[in-house]
Amino acid sequence: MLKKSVHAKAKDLKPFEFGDIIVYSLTLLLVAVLFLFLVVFPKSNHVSGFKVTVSGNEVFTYYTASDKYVIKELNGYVVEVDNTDGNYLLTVSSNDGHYNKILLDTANESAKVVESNCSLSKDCTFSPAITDSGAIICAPHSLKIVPILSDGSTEPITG
Amino acid sequence: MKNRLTYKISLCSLLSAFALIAFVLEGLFPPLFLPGARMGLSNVFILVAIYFLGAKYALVVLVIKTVLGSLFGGNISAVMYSLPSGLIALTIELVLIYFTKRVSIVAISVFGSVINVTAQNLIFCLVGESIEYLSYIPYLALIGIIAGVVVGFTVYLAVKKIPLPKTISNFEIQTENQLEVKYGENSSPKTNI
Repeated sequence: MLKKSVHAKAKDLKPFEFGDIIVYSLTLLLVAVLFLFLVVFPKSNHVSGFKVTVSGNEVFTYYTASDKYVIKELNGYVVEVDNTDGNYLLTVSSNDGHYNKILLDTANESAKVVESNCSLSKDCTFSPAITDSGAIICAPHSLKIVPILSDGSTEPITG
Repeated sequence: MKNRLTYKISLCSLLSAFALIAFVLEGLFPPLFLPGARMGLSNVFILVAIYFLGAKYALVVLVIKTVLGSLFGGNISAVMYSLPSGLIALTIELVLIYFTKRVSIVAISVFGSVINVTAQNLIFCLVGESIEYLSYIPYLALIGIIAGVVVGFTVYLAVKKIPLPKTISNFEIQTENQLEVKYGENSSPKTNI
């Protein structure tokens, strides 16, 4: 018996078929489970600062309560801080010319990447500002910005 | 037989090139609402490759698109999480295409898209030790549903409107003729379809 090709089978299909009900139900179930475990269940804590790491090494920490920051030296990297209008503009640059500029908004207690020379799409600069949850990750530069929460943890979304 | 293989390889190369162009062009635009969120238009060519050429050619398009796309985009580390998630999504799509009867192209695309997004970001969080990023995954999955619908409808139209290339379909006719000769006209395998 000659089997009908996948193309010939697909030509007979409509945009909606009976089997779609099961597939769409599974899709919605998956999304609902993701929302429950990653958004609804995790508890929210008050942010007490922000931490910037490069390849897992801490290079900068800012504490909102005292409005103070600590720069830790890391081989091959330079961290510069500019204080303008009460906000901090942080520049993390490496010796090979890569850099990220991070704005720490002290009034709104948020952090955002404002400039970077990483990949073509520059996803980190389009990441929304983080406050008490989430993280900004610049994968090409292995840079990560995470909030420090009042309970001392920096991993708010673990569930 | 030889022509058919040449034709398939040529079409596969074209689809890979189109997928790569779509991937790189999409990277030039800002992401949709969240970092990393994209329409994934290059997946149109992977699904088209499944329907027009078969599973192994679709795998070739996927690997070329992911590896070269990450290289051209300046983020080669993306291969670490894009390739495994792409393979997982492709496997699930192939299972749905080959082993189910009445599931539409749009539904297959939506499910594949959501699985791809979820797997990609889970691997990204685990490999990059960035569990803080997990909170974005449900929102990215929602964007994945919209992207899946757009991609699915595009592939649906492509399959409906574009006929199977003659060189490929001729082979099927030739095979049918050979079977007719072997079994006689009355027991033509055509009637058994």
